[in-house]
Amino acid sequence: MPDPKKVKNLMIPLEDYPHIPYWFTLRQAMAIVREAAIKFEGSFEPRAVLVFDEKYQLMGILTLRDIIKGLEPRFLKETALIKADPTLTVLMGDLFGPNLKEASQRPVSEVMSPIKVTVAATDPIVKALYLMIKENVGMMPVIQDNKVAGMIRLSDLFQEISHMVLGD
Amino acid sequence: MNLLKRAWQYLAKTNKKKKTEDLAEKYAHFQRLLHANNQVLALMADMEEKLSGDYLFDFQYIRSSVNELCQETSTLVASLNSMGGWRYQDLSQALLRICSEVEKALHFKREIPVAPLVLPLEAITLEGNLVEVVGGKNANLGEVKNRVGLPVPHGFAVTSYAYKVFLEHNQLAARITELLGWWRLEDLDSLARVSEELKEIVQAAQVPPELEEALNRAYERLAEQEHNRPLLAMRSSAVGEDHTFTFAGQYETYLNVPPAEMAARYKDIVASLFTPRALFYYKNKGFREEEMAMGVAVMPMIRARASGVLFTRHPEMADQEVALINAVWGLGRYAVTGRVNPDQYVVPYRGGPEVVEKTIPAKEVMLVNTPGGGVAEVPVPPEMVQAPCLNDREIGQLMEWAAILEGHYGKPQDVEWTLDEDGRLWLLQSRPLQVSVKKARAGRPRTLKQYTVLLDQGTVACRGVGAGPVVLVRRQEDLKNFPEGGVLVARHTSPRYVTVMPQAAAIITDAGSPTGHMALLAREFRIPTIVNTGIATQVLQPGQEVTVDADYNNIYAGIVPELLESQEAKRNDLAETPVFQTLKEVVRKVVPLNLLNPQEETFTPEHCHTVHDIVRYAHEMSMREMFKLGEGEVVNEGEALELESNLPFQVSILDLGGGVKKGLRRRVKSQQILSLPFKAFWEGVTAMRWPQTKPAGVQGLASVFVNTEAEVAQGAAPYRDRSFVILSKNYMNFSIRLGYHLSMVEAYVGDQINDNFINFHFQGGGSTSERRERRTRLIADIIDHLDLHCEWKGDHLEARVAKYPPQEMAQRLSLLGKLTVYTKQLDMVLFSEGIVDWYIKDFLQEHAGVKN
Repeated sequence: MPDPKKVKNLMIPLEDYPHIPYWFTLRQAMAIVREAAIKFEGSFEPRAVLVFDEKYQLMGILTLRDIIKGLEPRFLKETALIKADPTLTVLMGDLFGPNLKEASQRPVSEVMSPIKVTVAATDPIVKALYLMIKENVGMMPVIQDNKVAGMIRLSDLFQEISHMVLGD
Repeated sequence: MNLLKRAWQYLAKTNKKKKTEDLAEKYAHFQRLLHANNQVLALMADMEEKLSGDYLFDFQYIRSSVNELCQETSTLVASLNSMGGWRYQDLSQALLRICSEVEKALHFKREIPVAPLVLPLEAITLEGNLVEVVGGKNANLGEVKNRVGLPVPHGFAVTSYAYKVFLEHNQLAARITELLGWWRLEDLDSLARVSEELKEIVQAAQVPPELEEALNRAYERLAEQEHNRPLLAMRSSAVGEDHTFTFAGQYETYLNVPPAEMAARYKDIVASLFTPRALFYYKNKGFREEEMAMGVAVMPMIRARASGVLFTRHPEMADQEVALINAVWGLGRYAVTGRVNPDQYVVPYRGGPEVVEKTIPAKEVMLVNTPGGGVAEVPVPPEMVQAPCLNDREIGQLMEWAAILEGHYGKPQDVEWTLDEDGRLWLLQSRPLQVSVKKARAGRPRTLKQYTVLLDQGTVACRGVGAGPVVLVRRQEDLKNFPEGGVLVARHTSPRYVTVMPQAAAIITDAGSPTGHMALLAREFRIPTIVNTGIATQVLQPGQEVTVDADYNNIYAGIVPELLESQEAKRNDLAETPVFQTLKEVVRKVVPLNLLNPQEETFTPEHCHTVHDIVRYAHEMSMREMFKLGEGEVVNEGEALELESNLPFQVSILDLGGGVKKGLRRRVKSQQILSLPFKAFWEGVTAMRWPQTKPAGVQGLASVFVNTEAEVAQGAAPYRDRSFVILSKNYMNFSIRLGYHLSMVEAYVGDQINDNFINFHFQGGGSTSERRERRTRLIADIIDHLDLHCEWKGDHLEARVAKYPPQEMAQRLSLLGKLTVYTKQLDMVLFSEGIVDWYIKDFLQEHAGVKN
């Protein structure tokens, strides 16, 4: 196999990725997700927003899951009951009720996911795949020269694998 | 004991009084400094904007900008020195150094190249430095004769080096420079005097023997070529003439000169460099005296039956495929001076002689050669007065020339021609024709009906027209083999395309914004660009030839020559001109900011490389001076106070009187604020969400976040410094450092409505210029809603509002306070124009109570 692909060949450059300071609200984050979907339509669809601090250091990722969980914390709290029988979600009533607006004012730092793992730009994609499966994450930051250079996502890696399996 | 106590009290009192006076004086200097600071920033923004290429400007503009810039900056430095007991001498030194560098860029001197005194026309083209050697007219004649192949008479050029030798032989250079230094554009009387004197000293000078010899040798060679001993036409060919600038008709031409008078006429032509008209034109165009150098074009006199001018593009109808020919009987001078009303032929490039639009007025007189030398006006023979000077064959031949010349030069030409007595046409001069570009654009139909429009949607990011085969770019590898003249088509914009911009004919994308980074680059490279078409990658097939009209947002199938030709006219832009290059050089020494972080060791005058650095340094130091921070000075009670708050925002207060309710301690609670403007502003600040302490257990990655941002913000740690506010009961001057930006809010709020004002000033950021600019737009937009009059350029914004009642002023200040917090590091977030709009709406709804 000639020259296996590197992570940097498949990553999405960071400047294309939406990001937000950690004290911003879920509401503001949602606006960014929606806008990003419009802006990057077709090229890629960011399913997460990166969260940074005052020194522009990466602190975490805010996924769609995080946002929804942040808006409706009962998903988290009542899991035991719902787990037993998911149809019981009806008991939760009007899901996104009057508390929704209030919840949308929470800072993203309260609900974001921390960065669990990173990969180097020069690593082969096999390593990226391995790390994602091992850490059970859908994406991770790519580091180059001690800086975050981009994001690599499972879906991009998957595409690469399907090329190998299915041909063009 | 009692006495001692009283003496002490007295001393303390006078001391305090003196302090207050000192403070007032210092404050006056500080005000002066701030004013100069704003002036300089505005000047810099303006100069940068001029470089976008969308503006016309001249040397006068650069000179006056540089003058003003240096003046304001010295005011700034002087004010700082006054504030700081002249402790900033090294900054004055740095300013001198930088200003002299700027001056040097401004006075970049062109040297006259060493060359033979005389060159035959056969040896001349537009290539290399020949334009400077022989002047514009000669160079163009040589180009047309030798590389275009149109009939140009034999001849020779007297070089600019000959001019230099002439000056040196007579030791004139210093005298001329001295005399020229005497007059200013404003003083036309001195101009006339200086001109007279200059002409006199040139006339009194002697043509050096070696030049006279060279002229005679060249004449003998010419006589050999011509097989007779012709009389001569001697035309000025000044350096700069007919090339980048047109000095049409500024300098002398002598017709029908006997060879024995060559040297004398040479002096006359050199003297014409200094006619008041030519001097005025020269200075007005922003050339420098030492750049003045005269070449002369010498040709055998042609016995002209008719002569005239050919505009390869009708200047009034630049959008159409039409040329304009003027013609008079005899010599051509009357065609250009207006002595005779010439024939006019408006000739379309396509179609036969029947479509020519002719205007044939009566031509009563003509200019002819007189035997033995000189020219004379004679009456036109009666049968010729009403007759056209040109027949269809001759018009046809001139039109062929027109097409060839436009093809060669890529821009319209202004041609002088003559028809000799044997019916042969000769070209005597060709120079660029200035055609109004705006007109050309306005006159063109939006859509050319005769061509297939493939796509007519999207947003123009850079105007212009380009054509070529479609090249789909899906990934970076596709850029590697990008062909010369290809039309780049991609799904979204990317600054990476910059690598192929030099060879791309146009760029089209499905998504993207005209204010995006790629669009900026496209404008820099002048690549016609349409973004946000939605479907370009689906509609356009790889390899398909298309013409992109980014003036009117159309993409046509195939090549549309009309569009491309009108495009050629536009390429003769300012960018090549000395004036543009000079501004670029000047801006390079003025605008870049190297001193970013006051905490760095390199934050010193020695490390100032640009005017911007000086201003930045002085501004920072003025704040410290105002508050006497650093330098180990003790901050005395009654001088600087600390504002107590639970926000990560350190504010030092200097009370000029009545600004705060004094307590015992140096720390002041927000309830103690009495200053009306500051109270209102601070209310806004505290009403906002602030970054709370970071969630426990979350570690920032030890890597700077976005590499592009990081490069911009290199060394620019966020301002951990305190912010400073100067207060009185009705006044505040608040210098705010928050995140990576600086803002300044100055306000007066009192009962006298006429005295009330707010000045708001914002600059900077840690993100890319693109995102910073978006944030500035956001602020400008919001401020507009607050009825502040706002101007912004790049990431620099100034806003002002005045004469509202106190409560309305307070309301605005409170909103500005909110806005200041809201926009902290917001630039990072603003990755598209759409999100800017959302945040504008968000702020107005959530914080300013604007409904809709």
